[in-house]
Amino acid sequence: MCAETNVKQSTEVTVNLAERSVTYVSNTVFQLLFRITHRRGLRSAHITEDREIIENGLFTWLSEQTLLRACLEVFLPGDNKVLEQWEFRFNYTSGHGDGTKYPPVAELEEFCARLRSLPQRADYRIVTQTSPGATEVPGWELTEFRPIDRSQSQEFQAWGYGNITATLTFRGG
Amino acid sequence: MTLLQKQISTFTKRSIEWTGTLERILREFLTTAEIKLSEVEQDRLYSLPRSMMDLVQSGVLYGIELKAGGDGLRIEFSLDPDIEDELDLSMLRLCDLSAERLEIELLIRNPELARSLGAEMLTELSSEKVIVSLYSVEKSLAPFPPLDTNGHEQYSQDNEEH
Repeated sequence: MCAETNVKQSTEVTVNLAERSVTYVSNTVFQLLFRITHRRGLRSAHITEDREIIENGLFTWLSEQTLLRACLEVFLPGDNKVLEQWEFRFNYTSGHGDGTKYPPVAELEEFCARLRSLPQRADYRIVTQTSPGATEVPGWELTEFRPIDRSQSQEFQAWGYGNITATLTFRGG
Repeated sequence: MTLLQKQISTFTKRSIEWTGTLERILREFLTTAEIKLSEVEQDRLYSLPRSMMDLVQSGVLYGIELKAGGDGLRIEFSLDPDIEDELDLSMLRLCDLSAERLEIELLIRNPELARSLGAEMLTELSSEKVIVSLYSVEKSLAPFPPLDTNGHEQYSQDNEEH
């Protein structure tokens, strides 16, 4: 009887941590997306208007550990090439992870301040790559990553909580 | 003046959970303060949490203060996932909340980003009995300054941090 209770409590703690981990990482991705769009002079309306769709996708795929990467692709309308790509990659571990690591907000802000301004017409979209077997989430459709002429890249400090770690890499001109 | 201080974790909540938590806090505060709102005022007030989601997820919302009469409640929104919510507001009953109006102050830590996310539109949710205003924690809790004709903030000397 006692053992059963202990097992149940232990499972609950693990489930709670896993869910917190998913929610935390999902929210930090939003946090950085808002910072990037603001600093790059892009409209944040896409994120705001599609918040539920983006959140459902991130939450579903992070929960089932099928989300490999999510990219914010910046492009000029009518042009297939990407001007900038901000790539989030996700790493899943077993156990409780290495504690809390905060997203690289200050580092990102400093880096964005050094970038050249984007053309006013620049727009963006969010593209994800999942592993086979990922659940289909309404609002997301199949597509391909757009090509990019990469002249510089910058990797930011990793962050995460619980069993999920994330990294952000910038590629662009 | 007494300001009851509490803390809740924001980044460990999905948007629907966060808006539900804040709505519950607003309801409890209104009930304790016995402020009667019309249906229209209630609708406006309870649309506030959802309207704040951009500010929450961008991490610029430092906290919220609810004031009625002499006393009130300050809730800080922590981005730390290890923080546990402090949602026991029973101490509010010991506060002097006798007032006709509820004042809501949104505490912002990055006014420029907050502005780009439409923070100032939240003040339009004010009504006769509910006043919503924005304060910058980076400017020693100064009210949001107006923009000049070039879109730059106009701070008076007194509002600058030294």
